[in-house]
Formats: sequence, C-alpha cells, structure tokens
Amino acid sequence: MQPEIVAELKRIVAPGYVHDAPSELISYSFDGTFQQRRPDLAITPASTAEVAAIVRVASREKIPIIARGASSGLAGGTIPESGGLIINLARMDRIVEIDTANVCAVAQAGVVTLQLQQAVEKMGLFYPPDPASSRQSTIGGNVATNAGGPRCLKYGVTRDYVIGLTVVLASGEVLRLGGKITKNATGYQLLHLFVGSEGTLGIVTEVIVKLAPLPRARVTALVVFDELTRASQAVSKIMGSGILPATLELMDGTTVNVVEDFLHTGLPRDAEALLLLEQDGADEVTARADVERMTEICRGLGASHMQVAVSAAERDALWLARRSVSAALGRLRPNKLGEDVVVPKSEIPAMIAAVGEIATRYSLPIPVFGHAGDGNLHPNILFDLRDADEVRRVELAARDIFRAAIRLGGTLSGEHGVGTLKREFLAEAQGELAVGLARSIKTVFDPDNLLNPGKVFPTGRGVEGFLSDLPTLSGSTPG
Amino acid sequence: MKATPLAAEYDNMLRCIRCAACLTSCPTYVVTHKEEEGPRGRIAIMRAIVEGHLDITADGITHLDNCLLCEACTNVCPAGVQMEQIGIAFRETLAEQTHRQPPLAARLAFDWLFGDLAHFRLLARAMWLYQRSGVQWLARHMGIVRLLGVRDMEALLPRIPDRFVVPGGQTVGQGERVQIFAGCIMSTAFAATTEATARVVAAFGCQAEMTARQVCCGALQAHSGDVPRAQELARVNLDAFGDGGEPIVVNAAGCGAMLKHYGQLLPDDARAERFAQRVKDVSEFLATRAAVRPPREVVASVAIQDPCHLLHAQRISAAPRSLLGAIPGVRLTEIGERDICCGSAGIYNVTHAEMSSELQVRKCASIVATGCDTVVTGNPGCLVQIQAGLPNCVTVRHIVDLLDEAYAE
Repeated sequence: MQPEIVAELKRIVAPGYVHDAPSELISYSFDGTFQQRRPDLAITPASTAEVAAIVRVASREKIPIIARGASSGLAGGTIPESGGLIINLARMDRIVEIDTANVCAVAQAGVVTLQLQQAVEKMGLFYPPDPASSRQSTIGGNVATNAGGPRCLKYGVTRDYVIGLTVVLASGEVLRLGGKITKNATGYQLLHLFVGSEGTLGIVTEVIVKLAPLPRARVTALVVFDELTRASQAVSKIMGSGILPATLELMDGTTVNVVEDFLHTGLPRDAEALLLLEQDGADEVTARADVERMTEICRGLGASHMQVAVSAAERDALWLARRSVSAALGRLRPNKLGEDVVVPKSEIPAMIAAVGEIATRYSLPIPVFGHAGDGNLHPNILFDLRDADEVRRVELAARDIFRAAIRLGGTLSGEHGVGTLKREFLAEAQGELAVGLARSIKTVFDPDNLLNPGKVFPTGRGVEGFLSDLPTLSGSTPG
Repeated sequence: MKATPLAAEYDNMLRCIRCAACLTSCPTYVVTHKEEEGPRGRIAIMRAIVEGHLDITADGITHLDNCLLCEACTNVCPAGVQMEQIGIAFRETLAEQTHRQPPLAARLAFDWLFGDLAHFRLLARAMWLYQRSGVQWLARHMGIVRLLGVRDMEALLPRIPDRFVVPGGQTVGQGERVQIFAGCIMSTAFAATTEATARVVAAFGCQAEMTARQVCCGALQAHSGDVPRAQELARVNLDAFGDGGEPIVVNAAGCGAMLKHYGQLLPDDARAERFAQRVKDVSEFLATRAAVRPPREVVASVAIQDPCHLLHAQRISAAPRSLLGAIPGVRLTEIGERDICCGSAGIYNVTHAEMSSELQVRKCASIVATGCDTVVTGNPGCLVQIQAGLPNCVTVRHIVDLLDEAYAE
C-alpha cells in the first residue's frame, strides 16, 4: 500500500493500531479455516466515526475492505483473498446499554457474544443465540454470518434478535436502521439484508438486539446410543412428538473421544452416538417432564444409557464438552473442513447415512455432530493440506455432502455462512434467478465491489478445484 | 525447514486449528485487541517463520516477547496446543540465531546468582542492607532511583526479612517424610512463608525437611530462552532431592510448574520424570491430607487470586478453595476474570513495565470490586505485584501464611 495512504490511515486511529509490519500482516491473514493470505494492511479502529473515515479513504483509493471481529469464522469470510485492508473491529467491545424497560441491548460490533450474554443474564435477561464459539466470536461477526447455535432450535437465530443496526456503507456514509422497536412494517426492512451478508454490503459497527426473560429452570440430559442410526431416528421422533426442546444436540463416537482427550469429562468413549438434550422454562417440573418424555422416546429406540445432570456444574461440563468439539477435532489431523449443511428435520437420518457413505467412498474420516434437532449438521472432513491427493478427495466429499443436502430439500449452510468455501455451489442451492437478484443488490450497495470482494457469490471458475484453488501460504496461490 | 528448537515444535503449532478460543483468555489480547498480541497470531507468526514465509524481524520479536507465558491459552485450547513449549523454543532459537544475549555483566550475574543459593542469599542480604541502612530512603528522596530509571523496579522489591531459610536438611514435625523446595526468592524475601510452609506441612502430620544443596528451579532461565542453564540447575536439583519416593512440596506456583516439567526439560535422564511426579504444590499436597488438629478461627473475607502457574500450568483451582473453606471464619469470594494474569509473570513486570502495569490495574480493580479484606495467592510474583497495586485496606497473603495462622501449634 502506498506510504501516503498508510500515513493518512495512521492519522485516523490512535498510535499502534495500524498493523503494517511483516509479523502483523501474517496475524490478519487467516480465519478459523485453513485458508491464508496476507492483507496489504490491517487497522483497528475504536469507533463508528473512525470506521467511516477509514472506509472513505479506502473507497477513494479503490482498496478492498474486509471487516472482521474475532475472525473465528468457518467459511473463509474474512480471508483477504485479493489483498486489501482488514478492518479489525475487536476493539469496539463496549456494551453501550442494557435497556430493561425495552428488553433490549445495544452493543458495539466487537463485543464478545458470551460477554453480552453474561451481562444481560445478571439482569435476569436472556440473549439466546449461542454459537459454539460464543467465548470468542463477536456480535458483529454473528450478525455478518447470521450465526446460530444449539438454543436456536427453540429460540431462533441471530436474525430473529437483531432489531437495530448501525452500518458504515461503502461510500463511508453511516446508515442507521431499526431501533428499540420489535415491530416494524414501515417500508422495506433493509436491516434484514445486512444480517448474513458477510461484510459484502456494509460494515456493521453497532447492533441493537432484543432480549427474552431468562428461563428460571433448565434440565439437561445425556443419552447414549450404541448405534448412530438409532440416535438419528430418536431425533426425528422427538421433534415429531409435540415437544420443542431448548436444545437437541448430536455427537458421534469420534467427536466424543476427541473431546474426552481434551476435557476428561467422563463421557462414554465406547458410545457410537450421544444426544445432549435440554428443556428450559418457567418451572423445573414442566421442564423435567419434557426431558423425561424425550428420554423415554430414546429408551424406546434402544438408548443404552441416560443421565440427567444433577447440578449446574455437571450441566456446564456437558456444554463445555459440546462447545469444544469443533476445535478438538484439530487433535486428529492438521486440517479440517467443517461443513454446516441443513436439511428438513425428518431427513436427519438420511443425511447422516449419506455422510457415512461419502466417508467410505473417499476413504476420509468425517465425524458428525451438530444441532440435529433443527436439521443443522456439522460433518467435519479431516485431512492434511500437505497431501494433494487427500485434498482432491476432500473436495469431492464436500461436493457430495452439499449435493446430498440439496437433494434432501436442504441447503449449504445453516449458520456459518458461504464465504469462500461454499460459493461455487450457491446457484445449485438457490437457483440462478435468486443469485442474479442478490448480485443486483450487491451492486446497489457496493458499485465498485470493494466490500469483501469475491465472497458469497460464485467466482465463475466452477466447482472443479474449488478447494485446492483457495489461498494458503504454502499452497499454489502466492501469499 | 532448518533444524531449530522452534522447528521442533512444528507439529505442536499445526494443532492450532485457528478457532480463536484462546483470544479472550490472553492477557495481552484482552488489553490490546490485536491479533498479533494473541496466542493464535503468535502461533501463526512462529509457524510462518518455520515455514520460511517470514523472517525474524524486530516487530515479530516484540509481539512474541510480549507473551507472558501464563499458559491461560494452553488451558483453554481444545486442540491441545502447548504454548509455553513453543514460546520457550522461540526464545531459545532467537538466542541461538541472533546471539541475542543479555549484557555480559547480567549474564555473569545470572550464572553466579542462581548457580548457588548462598550467592542468592548474599544478594538478598545486600538488598536488605539497602532497605535498612537508610540508603533506600536517601536514594528515593534524592531522586537517584528515578534518575537511574529503575523507580518501578525498585518499588517492586519486597521488604527483605532479617532472617533467611538456609536449606541444610533441617526438619520440622513428625510423620511421613516430605521434602520442601525452598526456592531462591521464597527462601530469602519470603523466608517467613517458607518457614511457615514447613510448620503447616508438619501440622498435617508430616516431617518437613529443608533439603540441602537445592538450587533455583530454572524457570526464569528457561522463560528467557536459556534452556541449557535451566537444565544445569535441574540436574543439581535431581542430585539434591535424590531418587526416593518422598513428595516434594513447593510453595511457589511458578517453581512448581517448572519442577513438574523436569521430565520434558531433561528427556534423557530417567530420574527427571520420576522427580516431576513427586512435585506437589503445597495446596495440592495439603488438600489430600487431614490436619492433626482442627483449625482455629480466622475471621477474614478472602478473595482467591489464582496464580497462572497454578491455575493454568498445573490446573489446580479446587485445592486452595477447599483448604481455605475448611477454616472457620473465612468467607470466600471469587474475583472477576480470575483466569487473567496479574502481570507479574516472572520478571515481566520489569521487562514489560507498561503492559504489566495495565494488567495490575485491571486485576486490582477486580479484587477491590469483591469488597474483600484479604487476597490469598500462592506465588511470590503475584504477592508483590498485587500488594503494590492495592489500597492498604486489603492485605495480600500467601495461602500458607493464612493456613499457618489456623493450624500451627
């Protein structure tokens, strides 16, 4: 980047918050996937005004802009594929207000999701969306990807809680949408366009989320199955039984074992599948009755063991285990491709069976876990990027997983977003018409294609080589 | 890939799946929000160096040196990255490749000082003289301390006691034989606490021995990248403590964590891993045993400050809580952000005064917010760092001193 532009950017933020040294560019070159490419520069602003000033400079100079929070994403959404300027929003981490009268909270984009949850819970309130990465992910990143989590089965995803946004547009103008209101039928709701737009339409710098009352009771149970198919049948049967559980999570045998290696919680290592199910509510009796009905269904399908958490500590240990699964898979192989397909609830057994067949077809370990209750599964393909043949097989396996989900009436991503990893399949999932309309919308907001360019939309290179073409420092594309 | 200590940690680095779970546990990230000041960024920097995509440059050294080696990230890493090993390997590689070494005087001092506890005691005695003779008063009031630019460092000096512990095989109490690791700082600046350690161990039905010929644990040396010198010290300690089965009880969390790593430090010496298995933090050891007499009442509202090298490196948090909870009159409170370092981190408060001070302020604010009258910790660095940052109405005590008040005869 030209020294005059760097100097101009340095005047916008406090000293030390423009990252241009070699080691610093490496630090902003990756996300939660295996992809990596150095940006030309990274900058860490402290306010919406600073973000707007930065964007005005970048826009004038036609520099690509990639906004990021914790960059823990699993779809490649914050990789600076074509270089450009990373805007790191992690420093904007202030919870501006918790408004108990209007049951909402105002938070800057860099607030860590868990910290927002803990703050509102102290006031008897509840922010339900709970991505497994809640300990590290930011609320801005959650909005960008329309993040989900276990509790979204009952409570809905990030989109269902966003009622207000402050967005810096590609022009550098600041757009305020919505407010502390939960109903709004006034014209087009542009707000919803930004949720899940992965930084391609604007940069979200502040969010207003609505809250719920904190449920007074939570009952959690762990159910063990000797057969994965039985567990997946139990999921369908529970969801069809008239109960809406707070969570209904599935972990297969491989994921149980890696997480045991990390935490030593005492999960049964010989299980082929676990269900982690929970009900919450205003009183313990009703919640417990629901959990008992669910475990009864599991017993009927041959569950080998059932255990209801007796203390908050025991429940927390179970949830820590579940939240750790994705990253703990790093213990098995150097790289993983964490998929995020979603299918109609009734098709969960078929989707799990399809993943099993694909794993056999390409001789790859593909452990499965996820939010089985809402049809959102995380098959994780484990591999070693240094093995070209393996990468080729991973590519085919990922393709087949996407297509199996689409065939079953599902789609590519339930909560991670498209980023770079799923973009070549977007038209297969949505149809050319929908993708074309979305492109038109992108052009309206970002005529020069500067906001996270290349993400979400198909590149035109096609499905062949969609994985091996992605940038890595040591791979084919120069970093 | 060049064969360096850093390259030897490559598989360890590859475990990092870049999930970012470590970010909110990292003191320097939490303060700065910069990726290059967090564990994931640091691993990426070191990995790029090993892979040949990045040279070792001044900016990289700064970001890697800013790591406190507090192990909070290792503790929360689902993928199993061992950060301290990578951090030490980097410092070792840097020392080898750039011949980066402290000034000769400092090196000689390091050699001489830590090679023999008697030398360390001599230095501590000199500091005692400085504090008691009026020189300190003069130096402070005439501005010499400030002129020398060592005001922060000087203020952190604990008050040196009149009497030191000289480990010579002396014992306290009757029962199972236990060897006490007295340490360099703990046997001098905190000699009273180390004497109390022997008394408390005795009050739990053991014979506590101040084992002769022991030396410094080597943690400061290893953390600054001087692994050979740390290995030398470890060998002296292996000889001193023998290859028997006695528990080795330590009252400094930093030393305890280092001693528990002797197996990795000296992989070719079979005694080292056996030694490491015998090492117990004093709270860990006492929590598994019953006291001879019931405790006396100690009325205090106590906040527990977990030393990083106890909570993260040794994964001990229940033991101090159960020991203190058993004392009548003690009301326990938890401080916010208990997993974030206080900024002491060995000699970090001297080498990185600004970051250390930010962390100290943050920690002390969390402590004051509990409304406690006493903070209990288990590491000399934390004791000094926190006391220096707290108002006078809050007392900072080593856990052993509080246990001594409750249990000693």
